[in-house]
Amino acid sequence: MTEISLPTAPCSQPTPDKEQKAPISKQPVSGHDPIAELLPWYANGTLTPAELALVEHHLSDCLVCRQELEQYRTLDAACPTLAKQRDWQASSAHFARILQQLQAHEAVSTPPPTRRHLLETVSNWLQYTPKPIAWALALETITLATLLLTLAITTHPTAMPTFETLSDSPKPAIAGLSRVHIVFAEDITERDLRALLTAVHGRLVDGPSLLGVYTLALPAGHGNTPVALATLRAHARVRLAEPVAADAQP
Amino acid sequence: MMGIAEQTQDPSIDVAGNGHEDLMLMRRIADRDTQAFETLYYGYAPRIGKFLMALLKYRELADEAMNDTMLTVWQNAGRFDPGQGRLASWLFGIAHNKGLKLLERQRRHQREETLDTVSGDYGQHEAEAFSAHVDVDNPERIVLGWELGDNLLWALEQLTCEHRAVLELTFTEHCTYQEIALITGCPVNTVKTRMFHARKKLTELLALRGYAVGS
Ligand SMILES: [Zn+2]
Repeated sequence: MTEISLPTAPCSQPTPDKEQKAPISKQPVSGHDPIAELLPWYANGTLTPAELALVEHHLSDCLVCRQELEQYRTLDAACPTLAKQRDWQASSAHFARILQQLQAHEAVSTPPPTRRHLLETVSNWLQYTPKPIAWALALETITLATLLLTLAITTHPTAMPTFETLSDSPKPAIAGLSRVHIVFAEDITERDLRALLTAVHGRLVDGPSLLGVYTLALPAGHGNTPVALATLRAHARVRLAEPVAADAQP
Repeated sequence: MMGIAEQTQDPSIDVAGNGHEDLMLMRRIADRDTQAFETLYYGYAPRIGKFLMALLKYRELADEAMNDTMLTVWQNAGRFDPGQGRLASWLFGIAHNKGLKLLERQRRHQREETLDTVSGDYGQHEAEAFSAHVDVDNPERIVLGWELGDNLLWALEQLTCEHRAVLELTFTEHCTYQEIALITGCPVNTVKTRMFHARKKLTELLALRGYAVGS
């Protein structure tokens, strides 16, 4: 900031220029207006060579323009300094919030993809999701949902709200089925996926969300779900398997 | 129309640097590649955020406009055309548009709540349009420890959003006047007129505080 000249006297009058021709000095010379309009971009260094030549030629004759140019130069020196002091920083937390917002937005604006589409896109979608962010978000959301669920169970045992924070769009529970939110490792093959789904008698019913989370439907009852969950969690290519909160109570 | 763009002298201005790379990045984003989106975010968000802070003054508003901007970029990445100008211009154009829309919503909301009246350009601090968002710890209010800087900051805040945008794009972003016309969606002559009035008002405001700028 030291490069900016700081006038010492309040409202100091412009110092008379040595080249000033006294009586006409404050009058713009002919052709002044279009040149004066270019001065800000002369000061910021973005004029074309042709414009530059015009401005420089005019400046040598026009005191008014020389004075205006000093003002623009002051701004050119001061504005970047002021901008640096403005408190706006990019951060992974902010980017994660943006992704969350996109997810919420896409949930209301796009129809859920078909199952065939899911199988085709599973590995390449996961590949693109920034992992630390996806994991931070997923875990954070699960923690929150679990906490809310616990509170709901302990305080209002009969009024169960529905939570489905990891899914593209909340959907009602499916009769006779329980659902699991699942995230696969990026290197899962379609063959692995099919084998796993067969083992737990499950099928993918939704996803992927922006964060790469799929919803898996499992046959409910007979203690089936805990077994299936254990199978899913034990699989090397499954990174996360959590029951959908809305299904936690019949 | 952006034939002048390559004359930009500050190499730090172009993050991606060339139209082809910018286009590839935007195509990846159009294909829902969040990693490419993250690259774009870290490449441009710091500058866009500071620009939005200059426009909107308050962190809360700047954040909201930034989120709107990023959402629009995500949804419209396929529409970026390097033939129309630098990626930076395209992004700043979206940000400028979102910023003004947010400001308009904010003003409407404020009028509905009949909280306060928006005074003219020469209002005092107290006449801030966004009293609801005034944050006493707002970093913009940090005393710069340097008299003119502090007064200049004050004077800039008294200008209209449109005037601040033109000043910011010219002297912080070092845009050509053609680029500013593209970003703000105004004819080149309007850009030049706004600049003229912005400088005039700044010198008048600083004169009120006993300063002359630059001369
Ligand atoms: Zn002149």
